[in-house]
Amino acid sequence: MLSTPQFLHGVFPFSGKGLDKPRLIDDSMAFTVPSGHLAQPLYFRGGHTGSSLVTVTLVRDGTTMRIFPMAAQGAVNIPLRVVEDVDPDTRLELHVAAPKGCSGEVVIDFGLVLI
Amino acid sequence: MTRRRLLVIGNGMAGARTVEEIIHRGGKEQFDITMIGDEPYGNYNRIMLSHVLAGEATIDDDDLLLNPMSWYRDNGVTLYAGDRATRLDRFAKYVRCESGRSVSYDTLIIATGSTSFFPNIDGLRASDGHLMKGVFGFRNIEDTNGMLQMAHSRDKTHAVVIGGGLLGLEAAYGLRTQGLTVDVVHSPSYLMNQQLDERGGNVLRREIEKLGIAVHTGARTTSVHRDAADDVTGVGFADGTDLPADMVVVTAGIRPNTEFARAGGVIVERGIVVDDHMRCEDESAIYAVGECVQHRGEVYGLVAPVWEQAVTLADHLTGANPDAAYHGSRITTKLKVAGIDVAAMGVKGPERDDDEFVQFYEPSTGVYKSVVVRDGKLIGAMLLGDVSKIGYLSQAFDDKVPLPEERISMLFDLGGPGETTGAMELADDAQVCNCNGVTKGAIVDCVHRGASSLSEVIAQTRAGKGCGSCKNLVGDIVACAAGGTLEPDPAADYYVPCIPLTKPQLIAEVRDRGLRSVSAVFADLAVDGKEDATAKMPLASLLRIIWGPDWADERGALFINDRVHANIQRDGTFSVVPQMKGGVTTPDQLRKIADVADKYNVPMVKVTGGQRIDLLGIKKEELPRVWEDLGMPSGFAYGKSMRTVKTCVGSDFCRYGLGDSTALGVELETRLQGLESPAKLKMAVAGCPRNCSEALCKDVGVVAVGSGWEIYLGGAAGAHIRKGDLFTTVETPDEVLLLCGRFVQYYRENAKWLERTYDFVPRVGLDTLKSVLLDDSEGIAAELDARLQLSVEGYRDPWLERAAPRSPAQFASALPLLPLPRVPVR
Ligand SMILES: Cc1cc2nc3c(=O)[nH]c(=O)nc-3n(C[C@H](O)[C@H](O)[C@H](O)COP(=O)(O)OP(=O)(O)OC[C@H]3O[C@@H](n4cnc5c(N)ncnc54)[C@H](O)[C@@H]3O)c2cc1C
Ligand code: SF4
Ligand code: SF4
Repeated sequence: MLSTPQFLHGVFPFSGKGLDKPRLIDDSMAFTVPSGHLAQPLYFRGGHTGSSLVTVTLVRDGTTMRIFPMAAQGAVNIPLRVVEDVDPDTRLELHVAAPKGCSGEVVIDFGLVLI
Repeated sequence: MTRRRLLVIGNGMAGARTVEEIIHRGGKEQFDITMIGDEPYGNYNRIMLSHVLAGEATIDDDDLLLNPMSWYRDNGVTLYAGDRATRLDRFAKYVRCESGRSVSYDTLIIATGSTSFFPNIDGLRASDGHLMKGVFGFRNIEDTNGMLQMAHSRDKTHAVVIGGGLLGLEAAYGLRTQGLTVDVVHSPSYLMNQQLDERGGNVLRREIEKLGIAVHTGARTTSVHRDAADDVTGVGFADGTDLPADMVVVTAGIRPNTEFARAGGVIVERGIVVDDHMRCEDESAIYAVGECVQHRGEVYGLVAPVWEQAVTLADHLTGANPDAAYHGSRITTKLKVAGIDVAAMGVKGPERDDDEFVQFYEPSTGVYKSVVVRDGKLIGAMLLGDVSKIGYLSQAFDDKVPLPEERISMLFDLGGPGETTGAMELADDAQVCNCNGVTKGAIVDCVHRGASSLSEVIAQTRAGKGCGSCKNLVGDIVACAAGGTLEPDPAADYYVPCIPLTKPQLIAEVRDRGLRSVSAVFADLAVDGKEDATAKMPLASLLRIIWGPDWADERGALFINDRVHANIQRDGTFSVVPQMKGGVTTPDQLRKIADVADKYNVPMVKVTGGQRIDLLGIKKEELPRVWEDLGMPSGFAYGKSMRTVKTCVGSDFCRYGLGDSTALGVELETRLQGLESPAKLKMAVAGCPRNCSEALCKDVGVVAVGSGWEIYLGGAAGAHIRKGDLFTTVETPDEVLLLCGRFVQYYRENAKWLERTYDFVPRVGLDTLKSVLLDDSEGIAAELDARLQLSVEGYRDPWLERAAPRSPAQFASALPLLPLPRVPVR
């Protein structure tokens, strides 16, 4: 195959600073597209244990690509239909944001392919 | 604008039709088109396989092939035939094939069709999942040829067909026509239960039984019995009974071929799920058409929907019609099943209390008709045996015409408008030929553009070239459109269209006038002296038959093979086949061939089916030197001429030999070598009826039977399979030489251009051949012999031309003629 799958996953603690203040979930939740390759996000699966709405944001070189809101203690599974390719050397990051006082653990399974 | 890469997987009826439609809409400017098909041919009409199986003599390769290889070339479509797409990487947008090739695309169309379904029956499959011997599906050319071979492999073959639907009945009919004993086993309680109701099924059953086919309904097959050698001996049923059998044909349904798509992550339910643009679910660049798709929950198993889908997809992809959308098909089935006309549409019978239901049931004549009307609308109809009202009914079904007050007149012409008016009243967009997707409008158009005979219209539109059930209607429409001025087709008997003479007349004229060149023939005999490019090759062949080496050779009239005396291969190189009479060779010859192969780096040395050695991959400019170094005469592997006489070991070495087949084969080949003929001629001689040289399926086959030699004519084992007809039995090899020669000369003088003996012999009739050639009923035997003798004496080895080429360019390299992939070097 010319394409290779890549996954970002893990379980991480978070504590809310406000829904408008997202921050990188964990250092392992960042991915730089190697040069000579294109990346295409395929799906986002996630859930969390917090007691109110939490969002995870997919960030490309500092700008928001997609936002995934998850209800209290909820989980989502979102296929990301490939709309545009992500260029080489671009940095993708997953950020989490939660209301003040809301904390818990977030479960992430983010799939993409490299071409 | 750079052109997008369009890749089509599957070179069947849907894939190729879609490409045709795309090209028709100017798609060549927008797309670089590549097709991958795992069958090693151009695109053919699957529906015709039933006719091939039934051995209908009128079926030629031209009828079977919808798009020959040249079509792909002419339209700039790259075709990888005989290769299978195995992996789809929809992220990187590329497809990997079995051969290791990968092809990338911008737009992908999946048109992988369907495959035969084999239910769980003991003894059908081996433990590794392969079909065991003696078991066949009915889907492609390979299946069909396999059945034919098995059918002819011995006398008194007994076939059991599992499944009494359309395909099963066609298979049963075909095998029955080939002379087999046939049983059809069907587990529902009546035949064709998908399309017909019980009454209809029963009428059909009677008609099928009249053909000598036994029908067993309500019988569930559970096992195939086999003997110690694993040969089929019978089938067993759930109720403990069984039937004897030598072969089993399974036609228990089809399944969409979705493996490729599924493995690539495309969404598949029963078929590949598509939307109204034929786009796969949740994909931007992947589409699917044909039997492999599921649209609004429906999976179709007939061609009519395939044509509609192809049009929509082409409209959509080329942007020709941005509003194009496929809304599903209301299927009107119109078929000829086992020679019986069957038509069905909509529901099978009344479903509600107030549904009107009109039925006519006449089992003795095999006619059954019914219509179902709800709220003044036709919602179902079924016709068996007499389908004359189908044109009207399918329009009524599509809501295009109102229903008559007197419902019965939907089934019969009660003093009302007749069939021909029916043709006139048909709407322009009504589909007349389902098999090839031709509308009435297209036929009328064709006539208005100047086609003046039915055969011309059929040739141009393909209407009526499928199952044949629409031929009458096509004829009516053509007659209507031409305003009754249609003429019978005298041209059908002409040797070439531009000269109004039959072949014997033409030969006589050419002889009388002493015409020795193609241009002289045109000048003297063609209508208005006009040259016609398609007539050149047949005329050149004819002149060589008449004048032998003394014809005036004009190279322009010849096909590349005949100009350079070698076979052109798909990569533009040539293959060289030295003569090896009767398949006999010497160590010295073998050494020479080996030396030449080394010297010219021949990529492949191959033993051919005709018992010769083929050196493949020779460059055009090297041909003369290769011939020189070989120092052997040409084996004529390229020409429309006598090619080879295959022999078995015969009496010298074989324990069974009854006659010296090798010696006779060599003699036969020596006498007839290089003789020009309407199509290629292949012969064989066998030393006893065991037939190791396969003499029964050659154009001319000779078999030693102890008391003498049997001569068989008109056999074939290529795209067509036919056992030769026993012409006569003679006592001596000399008689064999005389009579084979006489037949060949008769064939040369009377067969149509490119007509193989397997068509010629049945057309002329064995009895006629016997009376003319054996009893000399026309008093021409001596003349035939004499003319043959002249040709024999005029034999000249064309490879001697190497010393003095006919033209400076004869062996010069040219641009590769065929932009096809190079032949893989093994
Ligand atoms: C004997 C017979 C008689 C029939 N009679 C009638 C009739 O009278 N009326 C009627 O309406 N219909 C009839 N049909 C049905 C009709 O032939 C089909 O509806 C039609 O052929 C479907 O077209 P398709 O292109 O979808 O599939 P196909 O014609 O089957 O084409 C699919 C092609 O894709 C190829 N392929 C599959 N997978 C791959 C791969 N991974 N890589 C490369 N190539 C691949 C297959 O080998 C095949 O060549 C008949 C069918 C048969 C077999
Ligand atoms: S055909 Fe007869 S003679 Fe010839 S090789 Fe076979 S068994 Fe021997
Ligand atoms: S050699 Fe004959 S059978 Fe073989 S691929 Fe060529 S044409 Fe087909």
